[in-house]
Amino acid sequence: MHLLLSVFATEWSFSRFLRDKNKEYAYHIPCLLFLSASLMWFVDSIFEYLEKGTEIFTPNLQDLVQDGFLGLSVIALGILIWQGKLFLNYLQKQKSSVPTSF
Amino acid sequence: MACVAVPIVEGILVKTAEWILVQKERREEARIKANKGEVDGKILMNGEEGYSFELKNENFPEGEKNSSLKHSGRGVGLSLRKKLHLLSNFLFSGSVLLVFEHFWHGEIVPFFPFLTGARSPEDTYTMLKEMSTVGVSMALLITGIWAVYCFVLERKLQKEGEKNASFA
Repeated sequence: MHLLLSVFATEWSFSRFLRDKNKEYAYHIPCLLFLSASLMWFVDSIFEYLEKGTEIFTPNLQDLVQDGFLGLSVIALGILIWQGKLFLNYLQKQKSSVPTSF
Repeated sequence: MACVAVPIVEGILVKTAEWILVQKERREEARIKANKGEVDGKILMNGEEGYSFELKNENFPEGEKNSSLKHSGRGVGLSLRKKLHLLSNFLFSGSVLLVFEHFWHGEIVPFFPFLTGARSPEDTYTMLKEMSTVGVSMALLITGIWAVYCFVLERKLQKEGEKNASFA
């Protein structure tokens, strides 16, 4: 479930990245975060499939909810990192725009 | 069980290589500046004309044009430092979220020995086995995708360079 949510987050951030022509909102950060994590979880899922077989496609409700909650938390963390970077960029821009001499 | 350690270690190694290259570039830049200063002095004395070469590409910001681009025979390409920066970003950004996931599952703890797999020899064996299979595969996949991306970008920049050269 967390892999699926992460893939959806990658899709969203990538589509925003392509639309943001001026690179104003640094969409490459969430794109890189979620894409990289999705790839790593994909590899993890392949090994899990080799170990457990088709059992991984039919999780019980409790596992599904727990995994979904983890996926949402991961997306929240990714967005927090991205927003933090944006905020730092904004502060730097403000600092550079303030005149140092009169 | 701590399979994310492998991409993190690779990321640290790549970052170290990048740092070494940055130091090398800085030394080179300082040497070029020193040489240029000498040449400028000669111009003033002898009245000769000087020529300055600047790498230009619209894909990169003004400040990075000298350090991130290089002449690669046929045109302008991406420097090794920039490529390594891309790879380390790629590795670390995914690792951050995976570390969070491992922390969530209790495989990473904020106290010694930090990995629950390192508590007993049986767990350590399982952890090392997972690192050598899942972790190495993760690192290889990320590195492979980075290599393909760099290859495509390099070709694109070379084509742009050739186009610019034909216009000039």
